[in-house]
Amino acid sequence: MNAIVSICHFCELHGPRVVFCTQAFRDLPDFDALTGVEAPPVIGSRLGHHEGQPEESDLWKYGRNLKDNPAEMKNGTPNETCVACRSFPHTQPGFISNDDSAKVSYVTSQYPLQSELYSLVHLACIRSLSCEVCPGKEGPIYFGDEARGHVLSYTFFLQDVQARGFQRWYSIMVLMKDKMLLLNSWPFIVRHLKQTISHLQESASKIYESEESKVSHRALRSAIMNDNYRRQRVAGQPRSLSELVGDEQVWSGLHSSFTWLLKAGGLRLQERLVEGPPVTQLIMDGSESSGTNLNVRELYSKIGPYTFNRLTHHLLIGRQIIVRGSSANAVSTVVQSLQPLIPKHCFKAINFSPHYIDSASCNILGLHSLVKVPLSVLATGNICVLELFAKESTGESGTQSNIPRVSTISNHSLSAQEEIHRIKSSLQEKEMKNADFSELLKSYNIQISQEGTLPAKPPQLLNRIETALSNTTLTPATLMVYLSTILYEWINKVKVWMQVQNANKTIPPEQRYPVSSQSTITRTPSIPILRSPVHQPFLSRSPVLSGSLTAGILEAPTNSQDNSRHQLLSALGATEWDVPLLEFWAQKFHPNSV
Amino acid sequence: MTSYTQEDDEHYRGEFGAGYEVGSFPKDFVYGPDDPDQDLTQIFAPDQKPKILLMGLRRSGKSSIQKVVFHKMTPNETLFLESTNKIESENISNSSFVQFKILDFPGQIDFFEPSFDSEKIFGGHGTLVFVIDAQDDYMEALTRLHQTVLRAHKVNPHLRFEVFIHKVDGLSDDTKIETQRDIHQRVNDELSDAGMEQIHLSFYLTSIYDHSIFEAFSKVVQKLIPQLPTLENLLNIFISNSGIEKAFLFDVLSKIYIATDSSPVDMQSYELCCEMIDVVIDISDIYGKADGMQVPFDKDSSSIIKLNNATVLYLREVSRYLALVCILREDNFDRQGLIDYNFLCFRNGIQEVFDVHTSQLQQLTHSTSPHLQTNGPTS
Ligand SMILES: Nc1nc2c(ncn2[C@@H]2O[C@H](COP(=O)(O)OP(=O)(O)OP(=O)(O)O)[C@@H](O)[C@H]2O)c(=O)[nH]1
Ligand SMILES: [Mg+2]
Repeated sequence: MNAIVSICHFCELHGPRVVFCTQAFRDLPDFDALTGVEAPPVIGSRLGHHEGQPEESDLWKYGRNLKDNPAEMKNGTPNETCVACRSFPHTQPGFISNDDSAKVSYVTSQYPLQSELYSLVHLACIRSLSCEVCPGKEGPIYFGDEARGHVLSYTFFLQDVQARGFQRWYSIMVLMKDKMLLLNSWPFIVRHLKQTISHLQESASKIYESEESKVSHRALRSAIMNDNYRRQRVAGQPRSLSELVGDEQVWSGLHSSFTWLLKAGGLRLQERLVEGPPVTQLIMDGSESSGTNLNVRELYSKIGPYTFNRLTHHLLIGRQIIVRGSSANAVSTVVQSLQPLIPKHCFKAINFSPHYIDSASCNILGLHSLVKVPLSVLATGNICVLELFAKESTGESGTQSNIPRVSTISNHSLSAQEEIHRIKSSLQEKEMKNADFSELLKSYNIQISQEGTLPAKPPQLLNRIETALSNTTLTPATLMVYLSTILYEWINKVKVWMQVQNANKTIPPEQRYPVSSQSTITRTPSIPILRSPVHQPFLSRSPVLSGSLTAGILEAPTNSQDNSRHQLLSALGATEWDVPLLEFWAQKFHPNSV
Repeated sequence: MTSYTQEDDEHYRGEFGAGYEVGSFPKDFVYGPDDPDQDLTQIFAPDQKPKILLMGLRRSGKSSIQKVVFHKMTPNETLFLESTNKIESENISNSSFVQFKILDFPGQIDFFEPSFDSEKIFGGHGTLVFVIDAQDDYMEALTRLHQTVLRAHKVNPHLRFEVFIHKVDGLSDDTKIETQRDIHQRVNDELSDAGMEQIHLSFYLTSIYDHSIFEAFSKVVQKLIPQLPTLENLLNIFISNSGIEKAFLFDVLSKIYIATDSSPVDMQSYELCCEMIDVVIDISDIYGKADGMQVPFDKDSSSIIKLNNATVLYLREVSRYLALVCILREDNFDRQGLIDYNFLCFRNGIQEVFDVHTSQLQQLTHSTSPHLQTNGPTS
């Protein structure tokens, strides 16, 4: 995970201060492979090696090509500190852990080691503790923007008898360049931080209680105050975090915790640029067929929620919809009215055809009621036949009702071709008004006569379409905007779905994810480093936050296929029931994309 | 996937500028709902309310001042106040005249840094109160004061500056005087060195352990009341015609006085009046009927206290949470009817000030001369 995890403290003497922060460093090639950017000639990640500090160079194995000029660094960082706002007595690495399998070094220091990152973190620290806070409230919040980075900040208090208000403000911040990644990792990060924090709080409370039990600091403070003789400062003396929680090892514990977070966070989700077909072509644009678009609501009220539900379910998961009826006009209008329900690239309709056409060529087909659907097609179960019965005959019994229809149809079928032509042009020329459409539908009864079996549950999208259609307070224009918005949303999911599926095909699984579960993370023990104050100017580069802006998130599948699919679905906000939809839409993408 | 648009970012960016204003301390002392009988005239549109910025080094006592004056916190409780970590903003609208916004700053943060919107913080009509801890070495505070004044003046040349030399309760009288002189001297020297003599600073010796903080705050608030000269004039006419020695117009909730007649104020009589308000409120609290009002003070509130040095304290309600407290000699109180009549005139006068303000600000000066019946020479 390309992030900086840091601890900030509102010091009673110095205000908001960055106390501790952990970063991940990688060697350049790896880093560039990740972002897909052409790697510049490797200037040698070890360029910075100098005989002066052999120990540290050995300890810090990866991505050590960046190094700020120490003099330059000094300018940015505050020169005045006290024990409360300090974790290490210097601005050099305090802890380093190397992950040899992933070639990453996790480095912890008081301030970020690159001055441009320092100012970002410092700014975020002020916001985290002195701007974006609710008084007296603990908990995670988000703030940020592209320029200053996106921040998850978790505010908490630690009890302390010496603090002016008997508690001190701290926050843990996760700062990233990628907002989507941050927000998508939110539950994971928050869960982990909460654990770390409650651990700190418990320890601090224990210390607090034991100190209070010796003497009440409240009473003590009042007593000293009332004693008018040279009043002394009883509160507000700075104390370090390790003193607050009574644990000398607290810093190395936090280093491990943050390293784990960065490592595990990176395994869960990775940022990658997702390229899909441009979205603009994917939804019918309103101008072309605005008149007919509106008819979907008429259709909905005509056929009723139940039939509509099944019809649309078939449609969304890629079954062929066959609309049969005696009037070419009515049939083709119904066919066209389905258009707003699916993306343009999935809408292959034939308004009225004299013979059956297979599902490869069209997924919505208008047929004359005399035309037979081949039995072989019916047998596949991949269709749904919607029948338009003329009204006059419906009152009578089923067998009789067929007779008048047959006669009408035979008349028309002679001129079917002409009819089709006429309708096509009329549809293009004049837009059909809602009223006309409902008028037209009035003379028919519409039913599903044959259909394949449906999955037990429809895709989520169907539910939303229905809710929208049944909401009569929406104006037609709003409804259209809404429908296309939810389609866009799912098109985006389909893109991600495709991308991952393709990736799975091309890369053998073992290579992709060398470490797959949290327990197998390899971590070299953290080693505190005592640094000599000698520095050499090194090449400066910040790999950690210079990552490209990503358009989407990819879920990294783990070894088990099922598990990965599950993870992907949950990352998409989709369920098992959406898979037929995803696959159908994805399959239709292919001609345009990749 | 839910889409996050650029607008979200816009939104957050917008929030940052205003971030320092979000929320404030939970108010343990909430002012009651507006009394429908008592017309609370708004002197300022909500956004033009003057502000009082409390600044100064950490631990200088800013939050304590705000809590003691406006939240009835006892001085000892301030020992347990947390260090302020963000600008705490609070609206004060006790009465028609006492309306402003108080901003309590954290002492540690430099708000002139470019990441803060200094226009927004220091702009507008208001006063910057700089608090100096007199019990501590104040050299650092003076440096900060100097910087703050120069920079704030640059951002907003109309900002007033007041300096509280605070926590003087620990100092002997001589030290107090010496400290004030020293600070005054140094600050003005530095300002003239910087070529900024035109900036005027007022100095006050304050402490939350006595009434000095209320006194000083009264003066600060008075300067924010545009009608102050009229009110003073009214009070002058009133006392000279009623044989009263001293009269204060009090904000009952905070015990700051928003106007007094032009005779000099001595600390003792001010304290006396403060105590009287406490007595009245306490007694009404215990014996008055509980009608949900936060502070039991209404139209009929009045009180007479006779002291054994032939002095009388007389308190009358003027308007919502506004009280007139007078100090007079017992002999002059024989004519209470006259005083009451004059008081009614005075009250009408105040009402006219409101009315005039509501109709038109310009006419303020003409229409507020009430007709008081002259009190004959007293024997
Ligand atoms: N002796 C004395 N102590 C005071 C007085 N006013 C405040 N204090 C004490 O000063 C200490 C700090 O007061 P705060 O009001 O919290 O200080 P602050 O200026 O708000 O500090 P920050 O919020 O950190 O900027 C508290 O312990 C108060 O009890 C005073 O008039 N006299
Ligand atoms: Mg404070």
